[in-house]
Amino acid sequence: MNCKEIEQNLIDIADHNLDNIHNAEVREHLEICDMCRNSVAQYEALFSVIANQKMQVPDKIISENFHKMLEQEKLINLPSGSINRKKTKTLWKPLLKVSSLALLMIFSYLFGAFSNENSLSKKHASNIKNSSDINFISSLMQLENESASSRLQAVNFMEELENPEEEILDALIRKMNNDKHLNIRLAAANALNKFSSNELVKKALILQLEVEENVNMQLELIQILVQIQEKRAIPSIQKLLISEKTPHYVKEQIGTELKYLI
Amino acid sequence: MNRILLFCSLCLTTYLIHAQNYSLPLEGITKVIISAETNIVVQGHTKNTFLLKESDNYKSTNLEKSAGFKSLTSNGHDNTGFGVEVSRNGSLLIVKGLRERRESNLKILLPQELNMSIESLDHNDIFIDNFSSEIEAINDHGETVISNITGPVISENGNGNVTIIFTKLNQSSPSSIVTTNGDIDISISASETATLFSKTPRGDFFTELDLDIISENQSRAKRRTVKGKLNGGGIDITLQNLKGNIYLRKI
Repeated sequence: MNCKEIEQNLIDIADHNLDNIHNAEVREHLEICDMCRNSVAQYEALFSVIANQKMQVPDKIISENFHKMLEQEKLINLPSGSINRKKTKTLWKPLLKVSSLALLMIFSYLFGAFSNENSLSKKHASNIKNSSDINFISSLMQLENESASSRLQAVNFMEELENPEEEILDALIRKMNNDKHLNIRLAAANALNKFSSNELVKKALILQLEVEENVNMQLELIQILVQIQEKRAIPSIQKLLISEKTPHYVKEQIGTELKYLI
Repeated sequence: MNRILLFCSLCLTTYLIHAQNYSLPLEGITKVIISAETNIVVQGHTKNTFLLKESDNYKSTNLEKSAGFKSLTSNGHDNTGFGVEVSRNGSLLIVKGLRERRESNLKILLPQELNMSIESLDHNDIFIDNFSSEIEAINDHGETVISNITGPVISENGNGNVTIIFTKLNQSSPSSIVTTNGDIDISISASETATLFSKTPRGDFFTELDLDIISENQSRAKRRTVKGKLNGGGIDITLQNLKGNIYLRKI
């Protein structure tokens, strides 16, 4: 199975609708293709959110008014008071059509919302301070986008959240540690700075400094750790100061930062 | 007589081979990923094709001898005749320059609207011109010059200057330019709207644009960070330079 076939069957794959033979072929391809694996994971996450959506219960007054309106409609439309089987059938069909259309619109909206890059704009983020399920899953999906600019937009969006869930913090930490582009890694570190009172974030910043090789990232991490007065980072900072790999100008900068931590 | 005919046909074949460009239609391709150890020059054109022109690129001189053979290197398989391997991976077009840096530029023509990711693998320069698409550029050692573009741009340079001239500014996706040791030089029209973040731990930030500086609670570490709005603010542009300066010009 190739990438195109996977793309055409994404919904069936994520919804586990394939027979054993096709499923084995898909799994074989996913083991060697990061891009398809990410796409399938995103769809699986999307289905999981849809499955976990809570049923919205209408307000009591709205419910009562709706039932009153329904009774009035019945009186207007059914003056004879009797309904034969044939008539029930003709009423059921349009209802079914309308329901199907409504369902289709809901699904289209959800898919549209998830794939719309613009939905991650900061303006939007400033209006929505809580990570609702849709924004949450949308941001996580954008973080794996092939486009570096879309990933940056997702990171910027997450930085605007007031109380991000642990999954968001985990995703930001993964981006800080592993994204291909230094630009995205720096943006993720900068976003995590806002949540640096969280112990999970503190530990991630300290651990990354221990293994970080890029000087821009080293300095970014040190500045954050000094700002939050994280003394557990001192050994890593001192190690960089004596390392032959660290350029002279970076050592100077690190030395200046370290004074504010010791 | 036969010998003369054979000689003429050989000359004709050689001429035809040399006069051929490498062109590939790009239906279904959403992004081109290019890596090479030579200078990389990418220019936008109006056709929906990937084009290597014979007049712009180095071509093997042994084509008549190697006709019908596969050209193999440890890096890949030259399937264009220009020392370049081109392959598809889903909607991505992967372009690998197989020649070494002492040889001439790799010059590629691409549709102006096609997204691209360019990586220079050695001490070389990247030149990108005339695009209205997303541009990603990674250059460890060398200059990066990106002109006549709308963005977004995600550019990373180790040692070397980055020069970018935006003719217009895409307002839907953010840009970010990061360097370690070199200058960042950005030109934008004074009438554009943007929100700029600049960080220069060991350099300076110069601008001839009228930025409204956003005052935030400045911690010690953020003293060399500037956040400013151009014409009320717009799409985010992050400029971060560890050792060099940042210049923001108007055009």
